[in-house]
Amino acid sequence: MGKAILKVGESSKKRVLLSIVRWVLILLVLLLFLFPVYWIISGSFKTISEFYNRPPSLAPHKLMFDNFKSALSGRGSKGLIDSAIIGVTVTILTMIISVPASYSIARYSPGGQHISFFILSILFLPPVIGVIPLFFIFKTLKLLDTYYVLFLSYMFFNLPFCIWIMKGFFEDIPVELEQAAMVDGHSRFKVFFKIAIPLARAGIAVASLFAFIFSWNELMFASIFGRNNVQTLPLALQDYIGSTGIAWGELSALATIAAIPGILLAIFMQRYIVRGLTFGAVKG
Amino acid sequence: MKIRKIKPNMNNTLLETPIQPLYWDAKRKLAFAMISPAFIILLFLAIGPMFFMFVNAFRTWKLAVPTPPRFCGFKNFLNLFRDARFGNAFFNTLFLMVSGIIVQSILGLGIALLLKKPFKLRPVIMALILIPVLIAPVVTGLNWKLIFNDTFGPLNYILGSLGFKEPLWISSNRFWGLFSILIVDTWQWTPFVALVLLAGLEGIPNQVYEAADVDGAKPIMVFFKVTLPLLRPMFVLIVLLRTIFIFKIFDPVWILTQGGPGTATETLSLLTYDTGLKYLDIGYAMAMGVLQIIFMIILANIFLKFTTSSKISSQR
Repeated sequence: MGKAILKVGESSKKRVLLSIVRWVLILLVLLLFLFPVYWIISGSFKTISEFYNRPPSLAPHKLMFDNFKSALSGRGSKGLIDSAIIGVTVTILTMIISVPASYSIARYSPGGQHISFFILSILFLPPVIGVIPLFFIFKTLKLLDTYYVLFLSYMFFNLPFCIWIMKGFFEDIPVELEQAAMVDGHSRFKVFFKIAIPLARAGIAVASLFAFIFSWNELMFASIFGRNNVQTLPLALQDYIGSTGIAWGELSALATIAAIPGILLAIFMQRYIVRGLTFGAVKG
Repeated sequence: MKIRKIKPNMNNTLLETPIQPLYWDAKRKLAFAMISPAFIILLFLAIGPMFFMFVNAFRTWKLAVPTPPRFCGFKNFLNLFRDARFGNAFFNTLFLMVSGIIVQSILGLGIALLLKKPFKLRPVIMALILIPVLIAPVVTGLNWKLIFNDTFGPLNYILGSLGFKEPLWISSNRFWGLFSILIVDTWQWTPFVALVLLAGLEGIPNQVYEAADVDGAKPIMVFFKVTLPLLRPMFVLIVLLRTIFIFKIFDPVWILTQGGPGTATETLSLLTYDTGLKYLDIGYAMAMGVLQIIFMIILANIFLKFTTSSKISSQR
């Protein structure tokens, strides 16, 4: 894999030059993609006057945590708590429901290709299409502005996604393994618990992390189905923008907090992100 | 990294094992029991709204007007085709889609080629450039709102000190508004495109390059005649996925411009949202929804056919 494509006859000088150019470009790429992230993080340590400087101050004058304090004393703490409650609950519920479903599709494919297609096509729908009818349905059921409505509506994209992703992981388990266990007298249910789940644990972990991050990042559903009783972090952030005289420091601090799970996931799950976001078409 | 091989018929192996018929029934029961909770919830969340949508797309139902909803045939759809605002939103979405796919593919390919040769820090760099993909879109929107700020933002400061004209970005006009959204979408998704193409590059067996080398092909020729054609399945995959995602683009536009100034940067999702939940013209919004659903179902079909076809799986 690592075999240099450079011809043998080429001078080492040229090779060194090429490698320097390559590293400069790599650093440029990193700078371009990380600068905006740095900008919001550094903004959370700036005083309000520093936001109105020209030239813009590249680094905060001093490291102060006032912005975090005031952000978390206001609507920020409500947002953080609600986002955590909803993120964790949705993840657990999604996994309880989607693991068996995914295994069932991978192994037995009940209903043939139609069920897989149904599940995949939900994933492709623009959420705005689901949101308007669901708004009226939930309104009739008097579920608006409760936690339940977000637990349920986040399944709209989480269930299909997790089923689809884990299906690939379950399909990777050799059937012979399960057949051998069945010959040994284990029931199908036991095979599922004792063999399939442990072997697909990477997939289950990946799917649950995605489920968490999707509900953590979600804005549209939260802004329509929630409001006063339930206010997730993205909704709190959006409300800041709408208000007059934006407190940029506070806003940046809250945005930094909201960004943390995404950053952590990108760093620790790097291998699986491509597989997840191509819906399993590219294996990492 | 290797490319996923999909084995459509392997699933049924258990079904075909010579076990007693009694077992088959138990298995079927178990299979349906396992899938039913998910299926019921999705039925409620997807089929319910779908039914609501198809019924109301053929009705005039404005919540702002006290007349009850009534059947109106294809009137909503006919109005859609004459609606300049819908055309505008459609064009904007299409523009973002086409320009986004082209720009992101080219940049992504560049980054993939940079990272092709493995080195010690490569996993770290791959992880770091993936941050934009997973960060909350609201935060992304905010980031760029600060960066695009015409007087105090870093972008205009750099442009200004280099002697360029300083545009007003998101608050100026249609061109700059759409261009800003394109920049944000490109920032967010290019790393993903790059890593998909990198997976494709790594899937090309070394022997191919060796053979080209033996034939005396120049590096540029190898790139255009060998690498690019072999990456074709990956490009198809990217075009499909980016089409799907840009088609439903909402959060960044919502945070950055809210479709403004005026309706200059409105996309289909934003227009549907506004029609349904701001102007409360449910029938009309649902007609827009039906058109979008039809488009998406076609795309989902192509995606499924493509990923299960031999094209992507033959390349290992």
